[in-house]
Amino acid sequence: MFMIVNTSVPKVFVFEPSSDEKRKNVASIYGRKKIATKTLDQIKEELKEIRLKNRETIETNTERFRNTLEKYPHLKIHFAPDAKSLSEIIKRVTGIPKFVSLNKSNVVINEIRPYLKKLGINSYIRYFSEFEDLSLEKKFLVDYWMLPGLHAKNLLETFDLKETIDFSKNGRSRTYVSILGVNAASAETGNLYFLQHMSNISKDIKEANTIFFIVPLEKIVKDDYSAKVHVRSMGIFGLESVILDLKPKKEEEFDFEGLPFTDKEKEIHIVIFDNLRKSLLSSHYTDLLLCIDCRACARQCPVGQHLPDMKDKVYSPKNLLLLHLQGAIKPFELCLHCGRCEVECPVGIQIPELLWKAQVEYYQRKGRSILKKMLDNPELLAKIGVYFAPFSNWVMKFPLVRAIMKVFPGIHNRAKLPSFSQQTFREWYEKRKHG
Amino acid sequence: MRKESMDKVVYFTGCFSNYYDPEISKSLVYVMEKNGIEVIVPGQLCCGMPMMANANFKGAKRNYTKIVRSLYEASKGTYPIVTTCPSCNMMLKKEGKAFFPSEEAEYVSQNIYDSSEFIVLLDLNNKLNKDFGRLELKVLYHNPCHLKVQNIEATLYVLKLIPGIQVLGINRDCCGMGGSFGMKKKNYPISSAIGKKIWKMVEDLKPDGVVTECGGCGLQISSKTPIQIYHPMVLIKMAYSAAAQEAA
Repeated sequence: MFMIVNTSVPKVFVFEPSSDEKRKNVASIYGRKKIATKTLDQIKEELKEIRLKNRETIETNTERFRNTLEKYPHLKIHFAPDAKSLSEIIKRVTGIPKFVSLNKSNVVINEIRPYLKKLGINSYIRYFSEFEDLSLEKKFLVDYWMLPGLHAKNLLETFDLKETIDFSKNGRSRTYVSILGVNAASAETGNLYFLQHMSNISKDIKEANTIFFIVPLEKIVKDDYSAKVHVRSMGIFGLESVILDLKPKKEEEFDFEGLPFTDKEKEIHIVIFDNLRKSLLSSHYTDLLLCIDCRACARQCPVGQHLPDMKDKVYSPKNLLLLHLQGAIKPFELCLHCGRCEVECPVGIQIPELLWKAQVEYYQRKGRSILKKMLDNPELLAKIGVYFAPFSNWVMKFPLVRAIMKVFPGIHNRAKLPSFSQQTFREWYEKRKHG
Repeated sequence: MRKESMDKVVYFTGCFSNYYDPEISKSLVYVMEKNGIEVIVPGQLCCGMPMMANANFKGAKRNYTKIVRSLYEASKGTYPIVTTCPSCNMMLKKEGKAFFPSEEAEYVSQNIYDSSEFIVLLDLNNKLNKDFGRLELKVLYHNPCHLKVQNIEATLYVLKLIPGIQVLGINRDCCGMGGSFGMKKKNYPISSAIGKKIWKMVEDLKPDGVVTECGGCGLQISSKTPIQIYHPMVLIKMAYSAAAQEAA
């Protein structure tokens, strides 16, 4: 556990998987007396309570956070209503910087990076420069069912404070810009909190000459205690999803440690970032503001690991939903509606329902394709099939019929389809009742 | 649940067992009658889940509202509602009422049971006819997503009740079918990639059959290697029949 030193200067706290605790816990699996630890449900309960309270006070927290930060002249505070204006702020301050490092956060990678690209700002996700062996191209985990199931092994106390970084001590820095999505921020003290699995975030905070801390509204919490619970929970619930994504990406690799040092004074920018969040408050998507971005919802998502266009995104069903609401992408239609993300979510966001809602709203505006209309009523198709059975079953076996079906209603020609029954159950039941 | 309410059940058939595999529904009727329970089948339509999945809000609302009214009336505030399809069960218990709330929706949600869940309930109330014959079957149980997320594994309990059945393995991961998801051209490659796990399991364990409640999962599982799929109600019916044969 850690103590927060009472100080007038906002600091950055970085949490990491803690080797000490991990050792103790691993030992406890092998018969050592278990150390007293909260259960997963207790942690969820506390987190949910904090998040619900936080959502109620999102506007006052933001105001307070801003007021706290404005007391410090060495920090430059900005507000960005959307991703476009945020990237313009960055361009105004830095021009087109040659070297930009990003952390692997939803807000930076999914929401901001596409706009940086549009402005001609090239960037690297430094996380991927931290892999020791980049020749390691083979991905060992291709699906959530290959995950080790760490929660079940009592590894709940494995995230703790690793580093405290104080801006008042101005060390030497390198000439590059770092854009970091903050995981939690305390309105009371202005302290910023991160969770890292590699060491890229600490390195960036210490080394980058210009830093943009991006603080999405829902990540501003009342005090340091809430922020701590928030960030540790992110670690605990997201642990397994992190493992799913462990794969080097050569195109993101860049040697920031090789950049020259500069004596130029370090520039710290803190950007309070809205991007639709405030308007979610009064919508039926308001539960998205409870999210701590742990990506637990990605853990059991059957399709997540097989999506073709996810290379430049941080994947989770919730991330894709938010991106859609922000107008960046079409609704996420590759969802199986299996309901697993909802079960995994530590704050109980009903993601499958919200995904449906978003899809319905989108098509109410845009109109549905003939293909969609054809497929939405399997009962009608079944009635036709049963009426013509067994002829319909026989016809369906022809490659030509299957090929036509592939073009028109969008059924794959190798997919196994059910055979129609010649008598439905309800016909049988009625006949039996009256006959 | 009140004791006197167990002499009748209201059955929501769902499209799969009505149009494609009536044996499931017929087995349910058989099993219930073996337990002295009359099965009421009120008027019904598709539960609306495929419509929601294809963004047909109006169609889903029309179907769902009609169904919950029909089930509510047939149940008369007394008889439990039983389903044999996990997806219909989830739609009627949870998803539908979130979009189309009503008094009837709430009632249906509170009084609906998956068929295996209902068998367990009968057993817990000492009302289950356990006159089962022996079934020499080695099976693999596949827990469909729509029961898994509701924490329903009643079928495993049921399988233990039938003498001779040996469960070689349990799969709780998605099979990749997702209703009509896996049949669609654009989803087929993803669906097949997800399906690999259960296909491999079947290949490795070589069971006599796979037990699963979901018709869609059954299609997916048997699409690569032809394997017999058993709905738990079909197995129970087989066990009762086996007992009759043993006696004869």
